[in-house]
Amino acid sequence: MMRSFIKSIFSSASPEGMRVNQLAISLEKKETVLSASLRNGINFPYSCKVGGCAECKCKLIKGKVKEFTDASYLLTAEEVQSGYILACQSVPKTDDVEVEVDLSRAKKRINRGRIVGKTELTHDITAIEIELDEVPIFKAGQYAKLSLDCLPGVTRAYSFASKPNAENTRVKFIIRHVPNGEFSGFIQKEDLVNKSIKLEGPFGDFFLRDSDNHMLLIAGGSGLAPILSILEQAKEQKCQRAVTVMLGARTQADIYGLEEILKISKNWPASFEFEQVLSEEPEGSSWQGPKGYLGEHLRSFATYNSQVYLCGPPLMIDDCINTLSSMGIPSSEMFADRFIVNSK
Amino acid sequence: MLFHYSKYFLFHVIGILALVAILAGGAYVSFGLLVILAAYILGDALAGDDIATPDFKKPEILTFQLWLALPLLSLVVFVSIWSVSTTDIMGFGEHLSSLTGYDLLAQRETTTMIHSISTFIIVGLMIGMMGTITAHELTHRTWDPISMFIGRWLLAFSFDTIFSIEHVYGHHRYVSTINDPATAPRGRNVYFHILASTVKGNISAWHLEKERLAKFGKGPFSFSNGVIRGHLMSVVLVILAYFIGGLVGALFFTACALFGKALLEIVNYMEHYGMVRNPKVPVQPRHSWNTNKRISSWAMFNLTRHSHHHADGNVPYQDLRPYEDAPMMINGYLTTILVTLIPPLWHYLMVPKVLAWDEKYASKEELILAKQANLNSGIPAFIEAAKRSTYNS
Repeated sequence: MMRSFIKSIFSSASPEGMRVNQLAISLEKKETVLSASLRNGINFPYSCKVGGCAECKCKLIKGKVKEFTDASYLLTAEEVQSGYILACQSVPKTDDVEVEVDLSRAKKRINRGRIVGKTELTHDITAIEIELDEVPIFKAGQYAKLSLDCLPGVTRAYSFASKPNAENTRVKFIIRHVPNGEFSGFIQKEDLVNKSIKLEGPFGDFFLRDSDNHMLLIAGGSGLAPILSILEQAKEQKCQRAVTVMLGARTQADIYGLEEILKISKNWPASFEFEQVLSEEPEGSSWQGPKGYLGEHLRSFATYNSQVYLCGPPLMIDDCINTLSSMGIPSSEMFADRFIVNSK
Repeated sequence: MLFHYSKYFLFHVIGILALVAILAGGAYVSFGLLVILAAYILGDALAGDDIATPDFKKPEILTFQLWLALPLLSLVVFVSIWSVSTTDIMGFGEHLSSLTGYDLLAQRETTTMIHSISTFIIVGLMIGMMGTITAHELTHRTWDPISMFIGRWLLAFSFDTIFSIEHVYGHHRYVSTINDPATAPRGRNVYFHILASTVKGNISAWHLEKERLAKFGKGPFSFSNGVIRGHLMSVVLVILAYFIGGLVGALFFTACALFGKALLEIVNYMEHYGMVRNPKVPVQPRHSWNTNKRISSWAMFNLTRHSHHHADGNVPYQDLRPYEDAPMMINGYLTTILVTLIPPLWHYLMVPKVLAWDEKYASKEELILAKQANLNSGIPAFIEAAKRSTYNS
């Protein structure tokens, strides 16, 4: 207590974290409550970002903040007295800052747009590109719920396959055709260009954690999508970590994402490997790489201090986690995004 | 890197040029005006775009550069009032003449009406470009009392201190909707916009202050009211002008101030002309006309990067990004200002741009608003487009 008090007097170091509705999030230097929340994937309500609309008002429960504008232009006298602040105008000064916000005001953050491109990556995996009305708020690795106006009543969750970009309203998703899947089947068969699409989100806590350790990213099926998003963003932020990407597929015809991964790995400042493991590649084919289930090859690529990200079908993920645990990787260093398959 | 700091000194260079031209008197004033106009217009036509986004390690230098606008603009205005007056306040002309060996007083006598009009245009431009644009950047920094103080005094030179209230708490909230006084609807001409936006902006600022004061149980008529305080600051400047140059000085300054204010409204006009926004959607880069023309961007320290400014209004000018995919203005700022002054030319150039905006950027809700705006525009090409549109509310 005393030490932190003295530290707060003598150092000009800014706090490194805060809490929003009890969830701990990271803070960058001089970052506002709003931008830290959005960067951490919290769907915080906001609109103008200059302290002019009060859309982002929240209650300061604990700690001190520096306020940029006079909030009394917008908040009622009662709100000011009971500790309300504007998240876009407040920078935490102490490291115990905690705010409470009614997220339901932004809960249904729905972004509309239209499909502007469709690419077949393999015989059953399709990428779609969407031009949105608003710049989407998400963290690389998170997912959104998609629904098409021309397919009413059907909503499916997919991970963003491109990095977040404050300048760009264009996003990409990778969709695997599930046998009898209503949504994925429609995506694969129909001509989708210019079709209206609705996107709700972001959701999920699958995103890159701070560390200097080796990063092992494991994908099955269309699970490469969030991993591409994470890696694209990591590259932009000049990440220095060693990377291994492992993709589990059935045959050579099921491999995709080579080009994207190659682009990311180019000039990556540390080692970067991309391994494909094929489970059903016929005997005697031209394939020289590893065969079998992905889990069987983990020992060649993981070390006890790897930080692991897994995305794909639940069975594959659980199998990999068992193997990795037996190698001594703590569960706190493994992050998984299990696909939930909806099919009728 | 030194270059990136120095490029934002362009407006100081132009300010000093204006100062010297006015002091030199006679034909030099008109010559100075031509040089300034050519610098912006030809500069933007020839020098292309600046899309660099350097990482400034010493932003305080860039803030200090802005603060310098106040002494520099005060000097330009003082010298201009002196130049149209018949007296020599505090022996200013005499002192400077003996100091430089250049007979300022004799030169002043040779300044004919035509050249005095050049002085008026130069000062109006300086109030707009060195005063208002700098003040815009400074009064966004609501957390910095020095910047707010300097910013509001700069605005007082164009009788527009209310801008520091209306712009942040009104314009940024309502931009590109019908509730924003500064957003020009389709079909409006710039001359009407200057009047309408000035009147509505003042009313809006008054309401904002009144509501704020009511929260503290205060009435609107007090010194706590920023609108009243601000306009009194302008009154102080007019009185000072009277002391410097008599009635002619006061009238001359008032004319320059109104010219400066008109310039700001022209800039508002071209920054958001014809745009529509679904009020429920936060402001996006598509809701401003952007330009990355080099000379405008340097001399107006990235006000030109308007798409990013509105999407994220707290970002200081040096960190604004060029947003090359954003909707693009006709040309650099001064060139576009001149185009607005000829409404038929403006609409000839802008109607296709606005319609292309609908096609490329508008969301479904915005297409409904756009159709309405087209129908109300009174411009045949817009009305024609509205008839083709299938988006109905």
